[in-house]
Amino acid sequence: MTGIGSNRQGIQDTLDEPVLDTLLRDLNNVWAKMKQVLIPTGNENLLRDWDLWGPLILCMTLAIRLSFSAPENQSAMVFTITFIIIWCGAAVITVNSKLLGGKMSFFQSICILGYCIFPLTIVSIITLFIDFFILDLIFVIVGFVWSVYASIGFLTDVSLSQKKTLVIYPIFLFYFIIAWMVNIV
Amino acid sequence: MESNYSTIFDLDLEQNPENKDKNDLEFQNFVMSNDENIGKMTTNKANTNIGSATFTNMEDSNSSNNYSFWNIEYYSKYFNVDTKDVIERIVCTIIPKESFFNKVDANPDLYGPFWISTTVIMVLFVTSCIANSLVTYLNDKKGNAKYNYDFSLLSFATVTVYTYIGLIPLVIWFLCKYFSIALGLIDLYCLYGYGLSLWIPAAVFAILPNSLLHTIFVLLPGIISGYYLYYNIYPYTKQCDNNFASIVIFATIFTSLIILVLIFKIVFFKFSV
Repeated sequence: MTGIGSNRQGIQDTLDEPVLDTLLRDLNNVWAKMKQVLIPTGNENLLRDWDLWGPLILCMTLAIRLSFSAPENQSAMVFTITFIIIWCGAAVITVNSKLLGGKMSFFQSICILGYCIFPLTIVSIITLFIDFFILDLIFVIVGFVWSVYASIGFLTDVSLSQKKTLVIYPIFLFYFIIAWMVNIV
Repeated sequence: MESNYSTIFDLDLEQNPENKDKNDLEFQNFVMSNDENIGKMTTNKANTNIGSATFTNMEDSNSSNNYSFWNIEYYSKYFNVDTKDVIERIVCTIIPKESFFNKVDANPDLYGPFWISTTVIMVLFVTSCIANSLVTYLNDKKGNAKYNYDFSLLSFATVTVYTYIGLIPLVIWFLCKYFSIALGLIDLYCLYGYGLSLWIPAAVFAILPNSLLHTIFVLLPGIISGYYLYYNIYPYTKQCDNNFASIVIFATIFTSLIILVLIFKIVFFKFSV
């Protein structure tokens, strides 16, 4: 569970510490970033140290949750579709904003897009316990708006004033299709 | 020592014809690339009057030409648009009264084609889901039927739309090359991709559970996009006075379009009471 891109705090000897400590420190890093997504007005530099563990955990949770309540013969397909949409979608959006002239690094952008699924993951778990269509729909809309708002806050590039909509639109589409899948499953 | 020198002399002799061949090849390439650019160059001159603007454009294309084909920066010249351009191009395809290639003006982009076809896929999936659940709800008098969503519609829409948008312009480009018609590959992708934007509003009408309305809202965008493709490609096929060429090209265009419309009608616009 050693985070690939996460910086260690200063130079400290991590060779002879218990494995549990290492795991806990990385989990704490992931948790801090998830909280950062839920309350986007905090320390924005936290997401600059990218890691892919958080997005992987969130993506797996969402995919398992969706395949869990999918129609019987389609659960494998729902899992696959969710997984592909999240990773390929994040990669395509990143390439798109790079081609439009964005300066953010590839994995950092994927990390942000992956962490910003968090509101929708929470909503998908909440809707597991609520069996009332209108309430579900409201929750999904709130989660969708939250995800888009958080990711745009992190991903906005000042240099792209003329092309801002062109960068934001794919992000909107990405969270829209995820939210739609959460809604109908 | 003497034998060594003689071998060197031999090598020189052998290299000379190779160098000549290379020079010949480069020269031919150069001429060919000039031929391809003639159409674009004239449109550039006709449409851009501001000297400074054309100058910066040329600089941009030069700098992106320095990158190799495998580099991601190579493609950034096809994303050289801003929000206003994209909206204008979409409007130009929904109401085809001005030539699309005039609008694009030697700056074809791939942003529109990719995201418009992705949007079409998602809108088709969403609306057919809504239509399907609506029809299940209307048909069920007791009100306790459980409707299960069909996720294969999403993968089917993805395969259909991406195949159409990826393959057909390529085929037409090959035909154009064969009949020596000056139409670029990226121009064709741009034309076809923006042409799909008509299906975004049309797909919304798939929600209505009435098969007559479905037929109307599948045929209408089909006819408009057929007219749009004909209107934009016909000036190019007219240039070469080969009737056979235009027949083959338009047969390909209309056949693929009809197949697409039929697939949309059968798979996505099928939920009616």
